[in-house]
Amino acid sequence: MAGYVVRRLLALIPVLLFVSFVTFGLVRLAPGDPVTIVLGGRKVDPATAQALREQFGLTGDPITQYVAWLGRALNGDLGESYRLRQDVLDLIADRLPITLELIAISMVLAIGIAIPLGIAQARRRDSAIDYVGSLLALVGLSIPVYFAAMVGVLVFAVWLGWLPAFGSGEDPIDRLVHLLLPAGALALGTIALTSRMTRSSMLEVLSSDYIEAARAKGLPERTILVKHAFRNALIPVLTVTSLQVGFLIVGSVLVETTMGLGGIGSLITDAIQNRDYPVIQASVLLLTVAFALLNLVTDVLYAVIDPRIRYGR
Amino acid sequence: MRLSPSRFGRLVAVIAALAIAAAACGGSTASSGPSDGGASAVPATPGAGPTQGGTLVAAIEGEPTSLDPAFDYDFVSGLATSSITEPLLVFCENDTTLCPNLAESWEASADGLTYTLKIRQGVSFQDGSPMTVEDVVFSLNRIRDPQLGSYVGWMLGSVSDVRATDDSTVVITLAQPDALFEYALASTAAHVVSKAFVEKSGDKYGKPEVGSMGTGPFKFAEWKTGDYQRLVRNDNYWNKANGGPYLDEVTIKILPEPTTRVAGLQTGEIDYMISMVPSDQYATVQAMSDVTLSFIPSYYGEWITFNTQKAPFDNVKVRQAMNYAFDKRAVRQLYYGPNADETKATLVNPTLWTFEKEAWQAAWDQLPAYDVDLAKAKQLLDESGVADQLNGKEIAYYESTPSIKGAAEAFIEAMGKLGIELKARKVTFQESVALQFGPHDDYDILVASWGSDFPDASGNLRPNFASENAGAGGANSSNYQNPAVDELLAQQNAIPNDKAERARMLIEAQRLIAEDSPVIVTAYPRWPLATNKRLGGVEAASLWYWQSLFKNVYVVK
Repeated sequence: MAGYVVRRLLALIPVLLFVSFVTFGLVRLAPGDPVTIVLGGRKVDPATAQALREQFGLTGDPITQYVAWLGRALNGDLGESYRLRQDVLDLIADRLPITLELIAISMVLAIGIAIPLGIAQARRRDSAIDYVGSLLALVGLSIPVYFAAMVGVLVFAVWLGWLPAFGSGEDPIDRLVHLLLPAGALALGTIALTSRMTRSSMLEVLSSDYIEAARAKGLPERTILVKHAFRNALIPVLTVTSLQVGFLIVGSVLVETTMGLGGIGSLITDAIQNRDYPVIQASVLLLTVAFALLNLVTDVLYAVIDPRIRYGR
Repeated sequence: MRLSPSRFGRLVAVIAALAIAAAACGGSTASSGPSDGGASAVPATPGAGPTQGGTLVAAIEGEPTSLDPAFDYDFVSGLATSSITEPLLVFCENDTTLCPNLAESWEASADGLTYTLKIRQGVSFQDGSPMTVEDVVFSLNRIRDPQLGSYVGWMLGSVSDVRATDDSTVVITLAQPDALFEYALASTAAHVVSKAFVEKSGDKYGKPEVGSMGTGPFKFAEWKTGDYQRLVRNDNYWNKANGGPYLDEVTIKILPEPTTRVAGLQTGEIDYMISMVPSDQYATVQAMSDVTLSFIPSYYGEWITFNTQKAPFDNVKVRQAMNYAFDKRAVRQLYYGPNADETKATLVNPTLWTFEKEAWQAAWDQLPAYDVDLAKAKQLLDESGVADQLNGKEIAYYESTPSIKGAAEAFIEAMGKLGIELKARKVTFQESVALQFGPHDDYDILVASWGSDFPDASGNLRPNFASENAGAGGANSSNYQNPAVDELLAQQNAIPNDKAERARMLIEAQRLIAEDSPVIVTAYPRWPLATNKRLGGVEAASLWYWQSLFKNVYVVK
């Protein structure tokens, strides 16, 4: 297992190199010169424009620029944001916690709601709870995250006044209260998909022979559901859920902007709009690593859940 | 220049606005509607004098660039920057002229080449150290240094030397006279920073780790990027005799989504918002019982600009025809109602008549308004002889500001009536910035916006119409190149002391430009200012982006 993990991590290196190269090229192909955008429009004397260009590392041809960037990156220097004039790694370190907290709360909400809901639906197929659950899933999947966030603000902040409209709060309790609304909006899609997946996976397992056998032996329904059926139904659910974390990261870009949260999502939005190359570059690499690790963790979890799965040489 | 604010993700803003409006109507008293502008927008409750204490939360739409005044040249950085550091002079009298500040007096030589400033004595920085002429000279020379790459360095472009002649006098020498130079002394280009603090901070100056330090009414406390900036009162402020600071704390909250900002006004989580109320939500905010929405006269305009160096838009008759075919008034009415002023064919908004007002008024009466006249438009188009080249030409615009998008769409429709099929080229706000200030060779028609940095017509005419600004980095987005206009604009800039002659030349340039119709002005919008009714002492004028906005603000209740 350890060898497998190490090999997977090593395989990440060429992926990161490739992604960094492609990102480097793509941002430079997009219209809009960073110096023009940063200056926001005044005619500056050529010396100043040139000084900015040099500060930003935008002199020379793109390949030379890339090699220079790579050299610095390997030494742990990912550069400085053009717009915010801060070290990119510091920026990301500042912004990451709030996004991680947002995603974690979303995940807890999603799993806490979706899995019991899916099990209940499977157990009482075609009942009222099954239909209501399916309807909710349809709605949850159809509503874009930013819309859900706006509706959430209107209902829970403006009309009911239960939750703050925006911001991230200070102490842990305050933080939780502030993140409830954005995390809820973010979780909707995941709840929908995960509950559907749990339902169908449970239905499949529940109709299999060994469950019949368990029933025939007179095991309590609860034991059958939790111990025998659910564990086997979990693998596809886990696959979908871990993929969903990826969608949550993407969704956080939208929800953070809507709800005024200073996380990675709003950092990326700002950076792309302002052609802030170093920030885009670093954020994309961060997301690549996040997705790769996510897949790795999922694969390892398979083995934990299902003892028949073994990773070896 | 100041660009129209960027806005993100407005797809459902209208629905949301309606819903907030429904909620806002729950309150019994509606606000009095648009006030007629003026410097102090919000009246204090009668009898309640300013008291110390309380806090304020202001909303801005994007991350500030820096707290270093050298990089404050946008609509979001100044709320904090101008509270911490201060300029040598300030704009006053509704931002039409200059008053003393850290310099207690100033004098220009007759030839306009030497400015002598008396620096105020007894002013301390927030760390208790005295402000000296050395700090003043250091601050100005720092902005001038190309290596710093300051965004406002161009304002001091005519300066050849800055030196202290004694402990209270600074002499600034210009290489050539420059009518706009004096105004730079009230901008971030002339904010006085502490030499010791800047040198100690090194390249961290102005960034979240160390922030900034100056003579201003509020001190830097905290900056959480992507989230907020926090300032606290400077109890040793030098200019308390003229009012505040009163507030204990000011928080400046970054909220890119307009609907969320408006929701924050409704819930009371946001107390203060200047310029960043979208025009399609004015009615919603006006209906809020705890919020006052007022409008400040501006030096700002929105217009459609032709690339006059690109065929067929190099043909004056084509531009005039299109101008006559387009109902500018309808667009303005639709998007701004009473909150934008009547336009004519000039970027010199009547609020910019800060000197020789009668002459400007007389000229205004003569200016063409290009009122809709379809028959005349068709006739001009026929005379141009290039009507067949117009189909498929593009108008570039961004969609995140309702009036910009609306003007473009209305223009396309109006051209349809002339038999011209224009194509929409939708770009992001930042791409539109790059078009407006790039090499000006990559668009046919562009919807642009601009606000003067200074209370001077020249601050709008020169950047937008002098051929020296037509190249990359310049603001002359119509690529307008007229030697007669160039000459007038250059000459008036060289005679800073002769206001009458300057006005005459600027008016003549304005007339020539209007006849050539390189731009179609759609609106001179006023700045919206939304404040919670618990605040008193709110003051903001046309050049609010250079002002220390929170100095005299206090909590009424």
